[in-house]
Amino acid sequence: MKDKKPRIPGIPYWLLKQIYSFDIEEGYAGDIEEEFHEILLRKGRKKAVIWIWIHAITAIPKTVQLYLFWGGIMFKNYIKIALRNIKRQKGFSFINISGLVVGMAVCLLLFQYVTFELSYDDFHENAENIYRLRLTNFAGSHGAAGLAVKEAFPEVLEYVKLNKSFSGGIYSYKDRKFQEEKVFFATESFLKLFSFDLLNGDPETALSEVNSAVLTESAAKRYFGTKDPVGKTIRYQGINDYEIKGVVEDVPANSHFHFDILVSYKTLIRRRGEWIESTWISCPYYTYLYLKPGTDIEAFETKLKEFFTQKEKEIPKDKREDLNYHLQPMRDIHLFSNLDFEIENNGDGRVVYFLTVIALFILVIAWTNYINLSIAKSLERAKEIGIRKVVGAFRIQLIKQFLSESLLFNIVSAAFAIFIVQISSPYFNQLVNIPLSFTLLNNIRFWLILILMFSAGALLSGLYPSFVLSSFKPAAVLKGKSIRSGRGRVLRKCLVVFQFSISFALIAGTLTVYKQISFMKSQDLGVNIDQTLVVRGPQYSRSYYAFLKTLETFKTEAKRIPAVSQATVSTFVPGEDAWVRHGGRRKNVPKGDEKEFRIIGVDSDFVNFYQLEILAGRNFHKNIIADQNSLIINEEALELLDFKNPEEAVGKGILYRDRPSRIVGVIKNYHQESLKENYEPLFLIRFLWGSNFSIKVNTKNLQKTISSIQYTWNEIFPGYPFDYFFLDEHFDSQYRTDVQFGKTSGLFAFLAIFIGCLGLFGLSSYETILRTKEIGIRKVLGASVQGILTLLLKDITKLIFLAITISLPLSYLYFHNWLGNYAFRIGIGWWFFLIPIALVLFITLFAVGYNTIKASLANPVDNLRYE
Amino acid sequence: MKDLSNLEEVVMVAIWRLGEDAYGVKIKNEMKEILGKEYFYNTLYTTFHQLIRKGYITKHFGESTPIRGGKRKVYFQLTREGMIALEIAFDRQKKVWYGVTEESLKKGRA
Repeated sequence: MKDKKPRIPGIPYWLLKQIYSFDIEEGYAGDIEEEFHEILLRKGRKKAVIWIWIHAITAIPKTVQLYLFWGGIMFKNYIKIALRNIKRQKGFSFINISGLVVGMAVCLLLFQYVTFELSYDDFHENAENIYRLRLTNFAGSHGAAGLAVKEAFPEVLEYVKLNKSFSGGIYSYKDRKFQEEKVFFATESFLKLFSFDLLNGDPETALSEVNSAVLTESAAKRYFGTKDPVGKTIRYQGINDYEIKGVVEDVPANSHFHFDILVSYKTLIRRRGEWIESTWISCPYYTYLYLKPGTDIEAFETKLKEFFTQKEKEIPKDKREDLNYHLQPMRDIHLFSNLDFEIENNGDGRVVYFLTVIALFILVIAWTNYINLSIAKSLERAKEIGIRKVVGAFRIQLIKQFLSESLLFNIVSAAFAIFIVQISSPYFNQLVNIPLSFTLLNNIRFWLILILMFSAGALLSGLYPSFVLSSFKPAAVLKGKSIRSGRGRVLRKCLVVFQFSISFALIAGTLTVYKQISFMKSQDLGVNIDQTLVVRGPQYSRSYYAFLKTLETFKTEAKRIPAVSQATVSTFVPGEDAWVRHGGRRKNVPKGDEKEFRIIGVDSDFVNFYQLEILAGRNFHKNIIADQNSLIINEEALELLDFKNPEEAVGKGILYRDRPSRIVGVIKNYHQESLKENYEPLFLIRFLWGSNFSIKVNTKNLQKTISSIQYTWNEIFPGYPFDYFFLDEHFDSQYRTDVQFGKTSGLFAFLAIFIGCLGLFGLSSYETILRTKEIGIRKVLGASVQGILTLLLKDITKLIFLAITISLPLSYLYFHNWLGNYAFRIGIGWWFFLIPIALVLFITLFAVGYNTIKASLANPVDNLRYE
Repeated sequence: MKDLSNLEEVVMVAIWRLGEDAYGVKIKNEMKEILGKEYFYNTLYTTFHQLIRKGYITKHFGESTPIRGGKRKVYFQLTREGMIALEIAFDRQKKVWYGVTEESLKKGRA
């Protein structure tokens, strides 16, 4: 019998043993084992195992019931004590809870923002297998690239070519006319590859024919109201009819491109010519590849590179540009792609990460406060803990008690935080520029993460205090011995240093951002954009000379308005990305070694209108016909073309797009774009493929002036919408994301300091209470009020300076790096160090001061008598 | 005197019948013989607890055997109060069933 080792299944046995504890368990467990073996001997192991399982399972309800009953009674007691403590120490509880609430609310809001930013293009079913084909610095690709790649590689299941119609154009249906901005030409695979749901129509054929188009729901509503648009036609620029073949849902906000109208790609081919399908020269086409799931991207990219090197050899040099192609996952476009010719301005991944880190920091600061304050308050709780221990509490029970207390604090705070998020989320969304209605409060995953986060937080922030508090020796505590643990103090100090390092970095950062923005706004642009009204005009479509003539007519007519002093027309205005680039070279440079220049088409008034400084040569002349082949270049272009000085360049011949042209003037560099961008080599030419009118207006009586300009506009461009803006505002709008970043980091700096100061306030009041007796004795012995003040402030000041020492180099590095993104930037000077230091010190002294002054002014007699 | 539930009554009778030998497994088997029904140990031990609290039985530890994994048996014994309670219960049962015979039950009426 003895050698037959009794083996009993572990799990049910353990389950059964949970029911009773103490002495009777022995009999109970023994009985079960005995019967188990009896059954085993009589009926075999299988029956015995089944028997014990049945026993175990039927025992579960009882176990749970008992556990809940006793756990519940204790829990009720813990909560009761916790609530009493909250009530008794209103100030502390307020500091604790409000810190947690703010921290959590900020964290939730940011979580919402980050989730939104990371969700870009996730709605496409195939999102992870869609890649964009791009050039090294350019988002577009050549007309022939997509098909070539698809034919060469079996991994490419499908490709989409997309071309944004940059001028948009006027679309009309009967008498409804709209200027459209977001018009794309798309190959028929578009609706298959991307998951835009077709509400109406057949996705297979919707974009397969010449002159067919697909509208979004809201665009359809604009033209057709509630009528079904499918089968109807809309007219483009009064010349071309597109048949509506389908309606798609509106493009979600978290898509890296937005369209209102999709026109079949074949329409574009019909309009521009078959050559766009095979060109390796022109590259305004976005190509998306759908790769076979599971393709090894790195290997594929290498193959792709080889393929294009081969292509470069095959195609003669004058028939191609450089083909340095790369792949780019579609989901990364929004946050991590900042190339030329992007479809839309993308977000900034670094800002998103920065904010995430900050949000977590703020939450950690709040939890730190909790830990700090509860350890600081341990003295008051010591007697309670002593009594509990004497009455028979186990240490684990005390730990449970303090954990449930921190859970209570966290739950209450979380509830408040959610309330705050609910209220403030529209404002916050506006600040960080995401759709106002976007909220995660109805997302299950969000709640799960929330619960997880807060229980983890409650546990972590409760764990340390609970271990410290439960370790008190009851005898010592009840005798009234002081129990300030040295270890706790060090930790507390570390936490304060941590909090203030972050606060300091945030202040310094906010300051840098603001300085940089105001620097960019105040800098001389080299171009005068004041009092300038810009009206977007038409593109030339049929006769160039007729087009030029209308432009001239409008200019002369506009100048007749008394409040208008000057007018000019150009293809781009300052403050816009002049994205058109062409090659140019000097005559002695061999073909194929062209440099790229940005091209702006202007009239003869442009230079004078914007007060561009001519360094050498002359402006275009209105009446010199040869000026049609003349160029004005800027200093940057001068350098690129290898001229030594402006005078040398004037009169020299240049091959621009392989046609002979002549430089007539050299202008000083000016900021065509924001100061984030460097100066670009620039050619001003006298060819207007589009028109933007810049009109200098007197700001007096502006409304009237604008309406008279509009009147003139409608006379000369009947049916063309009058779409205007002020150039200085438009220019500043380039800094929108920076201003946003500044505001957000300012807000967080404020919140971080607020929470930090709450904690400091609590700590200092506690410290001074602890030292009441000491202060009394010092005063009795003749210490002055100032002396005591210094004594009390010395500690905290030391900590703050330690925090600064840690934080300064790190934040210097980070923000130095950050400024590197700006071509024109400020240097980090004394202000970066002094202002935040002064601010942090001032704020902390303010937070600490109240308690300190109160303590040092108090009458020593009261202090010494307080027991 | 506190009332006995049916189960408590049966458990006490089983303990009384077993005498010196009344511990978990035996009691369970005894009850199975009396009522033909298997009880779970947790039910039984809950009842033991109640009876101990009412003061009708006491427990004491016995020997341990290898088959019990080295755990000692817990023997139960009726106390004086327990005996009295059992007698009262017996009396009551007698009164309840007075005059009732098997035949009269089968006839359908008294």
